[in-house]
Amino acid sequence: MAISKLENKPQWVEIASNSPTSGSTVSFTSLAAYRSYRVVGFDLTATGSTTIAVRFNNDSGTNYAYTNSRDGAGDFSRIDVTNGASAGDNTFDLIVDEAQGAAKEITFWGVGSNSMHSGKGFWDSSAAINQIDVVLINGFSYTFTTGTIKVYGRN
Amino acid sequence: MPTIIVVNCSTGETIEREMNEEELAQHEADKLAAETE
Repeated sequence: MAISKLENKPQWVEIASNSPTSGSTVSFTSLAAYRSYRVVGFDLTATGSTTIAVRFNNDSGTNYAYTNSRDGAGDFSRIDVTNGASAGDNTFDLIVDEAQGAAKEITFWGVGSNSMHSGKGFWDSSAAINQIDVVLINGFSYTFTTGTIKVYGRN
Repeated sequence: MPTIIVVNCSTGETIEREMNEEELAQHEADKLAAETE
């Protein structure tokens, strides 16, 4: 295949962006239908050491089946993408393919000051994705302080 | 009260509000999970 063929590959389109300085969750709602979504967090920090996780359509059931370099493999209630101290920069990149199909394929990596994460798996739902939440998972109600989250779509 | 930032990707509107009952229950469940993991 000629490299020029890659120029015809559909490009990512930015759907939304948010730079949270408060709140425990950033919820991207009313998403337009795309074949693939990409969620990227840049340099996110919080008021304390915390895990950053991603959910779809507000589904908190154990419907996320994936391997994670940090946590092994299993069925989880969310996708943990980074873990870091309050002053550490948490950065992650998560891609959902076949987002309108019966099996949503998920690939991600993330870097926090406490660990590195990478994994692949599925969100077990036949529903079309219309909401993506980026959630701080911690025991102390920490909140976001800096950083940016962007959501992209591609057909 | 924990808050949630809601970005409406259709309208572009962004608001921050207190979590509703369901969101708060999930937030508490996540806190509990974090404490036991």
